[in-house]
Amino acid sequence: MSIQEELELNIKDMNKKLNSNQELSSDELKILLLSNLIEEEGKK
Amino acid sequence: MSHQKICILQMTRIGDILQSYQAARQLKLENPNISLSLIARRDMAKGLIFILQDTFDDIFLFETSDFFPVGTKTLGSAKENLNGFLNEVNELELDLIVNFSYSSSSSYLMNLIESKHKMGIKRSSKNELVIDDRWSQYVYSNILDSTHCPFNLVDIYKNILGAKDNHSFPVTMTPTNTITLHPFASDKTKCWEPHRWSELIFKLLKSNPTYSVTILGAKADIANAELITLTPTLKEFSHRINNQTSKLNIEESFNEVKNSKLFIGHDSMVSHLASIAEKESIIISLGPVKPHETSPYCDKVVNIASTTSCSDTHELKDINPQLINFIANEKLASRALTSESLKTNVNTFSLQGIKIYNSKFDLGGLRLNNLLEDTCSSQDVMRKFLRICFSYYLNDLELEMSIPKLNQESIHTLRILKDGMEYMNELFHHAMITCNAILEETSSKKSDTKNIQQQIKKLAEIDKLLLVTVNKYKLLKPVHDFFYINRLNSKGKDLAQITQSNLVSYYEAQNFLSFVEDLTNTTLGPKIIDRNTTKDI
Repeated sequence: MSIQEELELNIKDMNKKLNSNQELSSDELKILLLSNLIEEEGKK
Repeated sequence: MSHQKICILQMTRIGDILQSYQAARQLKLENPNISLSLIARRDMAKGLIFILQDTFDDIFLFETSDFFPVGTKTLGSAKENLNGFLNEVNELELDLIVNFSYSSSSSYLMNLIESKHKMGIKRSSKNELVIDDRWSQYVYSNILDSTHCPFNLVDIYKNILGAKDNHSFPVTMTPTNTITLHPFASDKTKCWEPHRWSELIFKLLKSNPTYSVTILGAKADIANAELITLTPTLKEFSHRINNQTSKLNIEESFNEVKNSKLFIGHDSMVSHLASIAEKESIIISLGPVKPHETSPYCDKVVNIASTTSCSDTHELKDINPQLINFIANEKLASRALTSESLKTNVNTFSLQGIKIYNSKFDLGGLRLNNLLEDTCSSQDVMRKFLRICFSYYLNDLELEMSIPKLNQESIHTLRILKDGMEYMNELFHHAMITCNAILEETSSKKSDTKNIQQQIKKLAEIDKLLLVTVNKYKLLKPVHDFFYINRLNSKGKDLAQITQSNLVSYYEAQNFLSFVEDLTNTTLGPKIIDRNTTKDI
């Protein structure tokens, strides 16, 4: 599995958590940070 | 006693890093015992270390690629790399971290860096954007998507940090008879066409025979620099044109600007370097540039802007090189630029449709004054009002202002705007009544959930009506947007506490608007109708 696929899978799980009103862990926030950094890099 | 440790997170461009530095430098001067650190992107900040190091005790540079070095195959190893970076920063044991970046990634980074206090955008554990402090709420509501901001970005950063004064930082220099030009910017719409620059260089060198011109630029600017310099009209001056495009690093460019007599350029990183060098400067603001917000932070700057600049269409009245040449000559001769000198020496057509601002410091920070201003447009009047009202509301500062002279457009628009203020005031009033009804219901022993839900629905409807109102009366949008963001960040553990915070926000919004209304009424004066002329006076 590529890093991109891993990110997408993790974000899918996080969205499920958020939809059921659960809080995100620090580890999950790190994944969101990495995902956003990649996205912003792509816009450069 | 341990020193307070403050960190600034600035993940945007070089110009923003320089503006953050100017605010941090003032804070450090006022509080020499604090320890300041900076987190920035490596490719943006690396070339600025020679400037940043006099203010920041620690500078953390990173790039996205640091977390994904070649060969990284799993998300787990990227997270480990990120942990390494976070551990280094967290060793500082920060008292305060301030986010000046407003990007999504910076909001997540804010959550992961440990600090006793945090200012600027961050994330909640439910992934919501959170902004606790009011100046950062102001930035989020009034800067990112607005053209009405009356404050310089450096002053806003200073306000967030709590720096108070406007100190001048003298620079050691040995000026030569050189004019430094930076005829480029990151965005093409912010730049003059090359032939305009050629024309200006011709005029500058012709009227100043003892001077030479140095052109600064990056690798991407080489072709345009050649278009500017290799024009036949400049052939006779070629020995006095020093094209340094792509030849100097940032530190060498800074020294070049520092040791020249005058800088001329657009809104760009080099213009901010010139302000740090306290250099006499002429800034040509074109396209989407917002001069009040981004003008180089120095009182030696004359900023020339097309009056249609900042509009949605970005249609421009071209700025005449003859005008820039005149201002340059006045600056080189150390003569004060005045409305009279401009009107006497520059043809009227060149002065139409543009604004020529000089820069002055007052209690509220750097202020741009339009030298050609006989009367104010409604936008200018509102910008003045907002500067006074927000300075009072957010900083408890009472700024002085002479009553603006109005023209037909501003009289007409302000009169119509008063209706908008009345509607908004009524809506704020209804919102407060609704908040009180919720509070009454929640404190009752037999609270009626259905009634509470109805009242919450009513508040949402009031917010929608407020939005409809400001979409019609657009000059009131900065007030609406600030208090909207303020309410979205209401603090509270339960419905009653959040409603209490909302009630305070609506109340303050109403007071703020009354202040704007008072200023409007004072400026407009009484409406006098003379039946003999059948016209308003």
